[in-house]
Amino acid sequence: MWRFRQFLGSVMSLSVWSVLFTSQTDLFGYNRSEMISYIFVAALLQGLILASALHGLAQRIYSGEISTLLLKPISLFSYFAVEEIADKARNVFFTIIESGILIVLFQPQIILPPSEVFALFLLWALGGVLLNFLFSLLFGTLGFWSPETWGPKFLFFIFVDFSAGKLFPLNILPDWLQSILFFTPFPYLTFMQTQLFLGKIPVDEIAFHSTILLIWIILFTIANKYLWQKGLRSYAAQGQ
Amino acid sequence: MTRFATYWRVWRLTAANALQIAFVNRGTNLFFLLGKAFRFFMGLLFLLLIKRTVSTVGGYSSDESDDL
Repeated sequence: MWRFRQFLGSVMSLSVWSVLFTSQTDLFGYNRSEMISYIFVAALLQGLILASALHGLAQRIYSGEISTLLLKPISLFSYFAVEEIADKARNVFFTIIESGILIVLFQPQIILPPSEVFALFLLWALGGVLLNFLFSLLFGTLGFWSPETWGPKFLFFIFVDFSAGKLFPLNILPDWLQSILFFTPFPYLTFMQTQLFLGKIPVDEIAFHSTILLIWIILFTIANKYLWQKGLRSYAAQGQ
Repeated sequence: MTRFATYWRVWRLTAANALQIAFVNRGTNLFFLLGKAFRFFMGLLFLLLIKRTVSTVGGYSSDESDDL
């Protein structure tokens, strides 16, 4: 169902923007091809970056389900990473099929970047994957201390949908709102990668954004390490 | 038809159980409603930005679409 929702979201976005561009050649700094490319790249990145097998991690921890994983002769995080990779592979596979259907239906002109930008795009996408993995692990730690794991995760997902640029490009928003969003790591979960793909990031800013992405990854790795150590120290389960 | 009725009963039961997760306690309720409100206002903001920037959509102006 989640994949079907993503597909419908892409169909809706493509329909809305196609209609809007019938009477305009340029909207919010995007031409028709750029906007259509944005939707396709964002859809692909959602499958790659935002899809996660760890949605129910906090519940698994609170219910004691991870006890059996802790006893296995494999690192807990390696196990989660493999689960995550498998889930992403499945999602990307279906996203490619869905994109094929959308290409046949809408026959868009998709802008492709030069090969060196594409290589950097893949690197940033990998950074986004890592960042989202760290977010999922961080939310998982809620399960060590609270049974209330569903609500915060739901709110977080809604916020990410918007702040990662999944619903629409962030640069159509008022400047003050963009400034606030760029103080958070969320634009690095889809939006910045699409901007790089479309060539909308000046060359002299690429190093800056790469550094910011790296800093967020390091910060969340430290936060995860601290909270998981603390959580596992207070973790107890019986009857598994 | 009998099979469809069975599917409907199973779907209704699982849907009711899924809904109960959202209303299991006060905190979860609050987060759920905040999330829904946030999504609604972001949709509204998107429409307002479109209305402010685009004069016609599909050949209709904003005033013409109000009359429909």
